[in-house]
Amino acid sequence: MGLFTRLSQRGAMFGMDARIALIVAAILTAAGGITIMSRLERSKVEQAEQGAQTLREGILKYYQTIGINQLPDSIDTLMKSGVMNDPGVKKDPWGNPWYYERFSSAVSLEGNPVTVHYAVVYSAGKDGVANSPSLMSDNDYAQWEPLNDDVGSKVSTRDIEMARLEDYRARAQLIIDKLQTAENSAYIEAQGTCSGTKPPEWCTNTDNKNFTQFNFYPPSSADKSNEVVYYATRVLNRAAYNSGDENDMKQLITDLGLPETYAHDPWGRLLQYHSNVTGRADPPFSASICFSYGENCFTK
Amino acid sequence: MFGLIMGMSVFSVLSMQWAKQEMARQNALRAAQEKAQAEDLAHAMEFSLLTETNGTYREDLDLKRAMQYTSLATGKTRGGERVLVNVQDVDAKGSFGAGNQRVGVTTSDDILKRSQVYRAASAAELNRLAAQSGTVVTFDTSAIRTRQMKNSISGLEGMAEQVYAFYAGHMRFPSGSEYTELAGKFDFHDAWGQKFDYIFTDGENAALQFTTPWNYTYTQKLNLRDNSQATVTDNAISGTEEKK
Repeated sequence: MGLFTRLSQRGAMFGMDARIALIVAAILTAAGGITIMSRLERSKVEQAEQGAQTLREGILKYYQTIGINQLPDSIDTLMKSGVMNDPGVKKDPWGNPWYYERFSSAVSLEGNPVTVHYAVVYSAGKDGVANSPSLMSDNDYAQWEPLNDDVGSKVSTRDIEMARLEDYRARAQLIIDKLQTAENSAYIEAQGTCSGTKPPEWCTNTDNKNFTQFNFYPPSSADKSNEVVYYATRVLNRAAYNSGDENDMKQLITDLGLPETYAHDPWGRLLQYHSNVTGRADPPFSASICFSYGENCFTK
Repeated sequence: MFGLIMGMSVFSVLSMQWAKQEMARQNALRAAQEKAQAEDLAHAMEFSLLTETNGTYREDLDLKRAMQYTSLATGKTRGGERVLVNVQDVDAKGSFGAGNQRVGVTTSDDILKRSQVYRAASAAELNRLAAQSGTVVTFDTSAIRTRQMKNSISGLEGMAEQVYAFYAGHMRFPSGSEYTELAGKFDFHDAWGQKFDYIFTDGENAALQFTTPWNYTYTQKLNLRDNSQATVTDNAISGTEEKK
C-alpha cells in the first residue's frame, strides 16, 4: 500500500511537469504559429511592394531603351520586351495580375516642350479587389495613392526628361560647334588655294562672286535659294545633304566627326539642318539645326 | 524541469539577439528609404520650378507641388504621418531679384526629428538638421533660379549673335519688324519659353531683354561701338541688368 501510494505520488508529480511543459509548448507553438502566419502575410505585402518597385524600374528601363517616347502599353508588353530580369513578378504575390495605368502630359521644361509620362502599377492586395483611383490626368497622378489593402508604386519619367534635356543641349551645341569648325576649315582651305600665285578661276568669278562671298557651310537641301554659291557644291562637287533624311543626316553627322547616333536627339527626333536659315544671298550666312518627328521645325 | 527552463532561456537569448540584429537592419533600411524618399520629393519640387511658365509661376512651395512629379506612392510617411515640408527664407531678395528660399523635407516617422524640422525657424537651422540626419533633405531655390537665368542669358546671347550677323550684312541693326522675322527663324527663348524682347533705338543702337516671372528684367545692349560689349559674350551672367 505504502509503495503504491509513493508510486502514485511520483506519477502525479511527473504528470504535473508534463502538463506544465505541454501548456508552455502549446503556448509557444500557438504564438509561433500566429507570428509565422502574420509574418507570411507581411512578407507578401513586402513582396508586393518590392514587386511594384521592380516593375517601376522595368517600366522606366523600357521607356529609356525601347519605348523612347512611350511607356509600355501593358505589363504583358513589358514582360515580353526582355527588359525585366525577374519574370517572377508577372503576377502579384497573391497570384493576381498587376493593375497598370499610364498617362502623358506636355510641360515646358525650361522653355522646351517636353512630354512627361506618368504611370501607376499596383496589386489589388490580399482581397483581390482594386480600390485605388484611376489615372486620367496629371492631377490624378498628384493625388493618387493605393487605397485599402492595395500596394503599388508611381512612375514618372521626370528624371529621364531632365537627363535628356541636358543631353540634348550638349549634343546640339556639339553639332553647332562642329558645323562652325567645318565652315572655318573650308574657308581657310579656299583662302589657301586662292592666295597662291595662279589662283583657279572660281576664286574670283563664280556666278559673278569671288570666293569670300561663298557659303562655306556644308550645303543643305533646305536652302532653296539659287543665288548662294556653296564652296562644297561648286568647288568640291559634293551634293547637298537632304535635311530630315535619315541617311543624309547620319552622313552629315559622320562627316562632322560625331557618332552617327547624334542624328537623333534623346527623344528620337530626327535632325534637320539648314545651311542658310536667314535666306541671305551673301555672307554672313547662318546655319541652324533642329529636331523633329517629321514636320519642318524651321518654320515655328 | 531544469532542462526545460535552460532550453527556454537559451531560446530567449538567441531570439533577443536575432530580434536586435533584425531591428538594426530594419532601422538602417528604413533610414535609407526615408532619405531616398525625401530626395525624390526635393527633386520633384525642383522639377516643378523648372516647368514653370510666366502663367504658372508661383512663389509658394508646398508638398502639393512636389506630389505632381514624385514617384512616392503617397504624401505620407510609412507610419501614416504627412510628409513634412518647411520653407525658410535665405534672402528676401537673392540672386537676380528672386527670393531665395531653403526647402527642408523629411519623410521620417521619428517624432523628435519631425518636431525639429517643423519648429525650425531659419534656413540655417534647416541646414543644421540636414547635416545631423540623412533623412532631412534641403535645397535652395536660388540654385534653380540661377540655372534659369544662365539658360535664359545663353539663349539671349545666341539671339544677339544673329542680330549681329544681321548687322554685318546690312551695316545696321534690324528694325522691329525685321527682328520679329529674324527671331522667327530661330528657337531662342528664355527659361520660361518666351521669345526675347527687342528694343530698337536706331541703326546703331538696340537691345535684347527678357523679364522673369518675378519681374526682374535682364537687358543686353547691342552696340558695336561700346567697348564693354566684349565682356558680355565672355561671361554668361555679365551684361547690363536693369530692375523694373
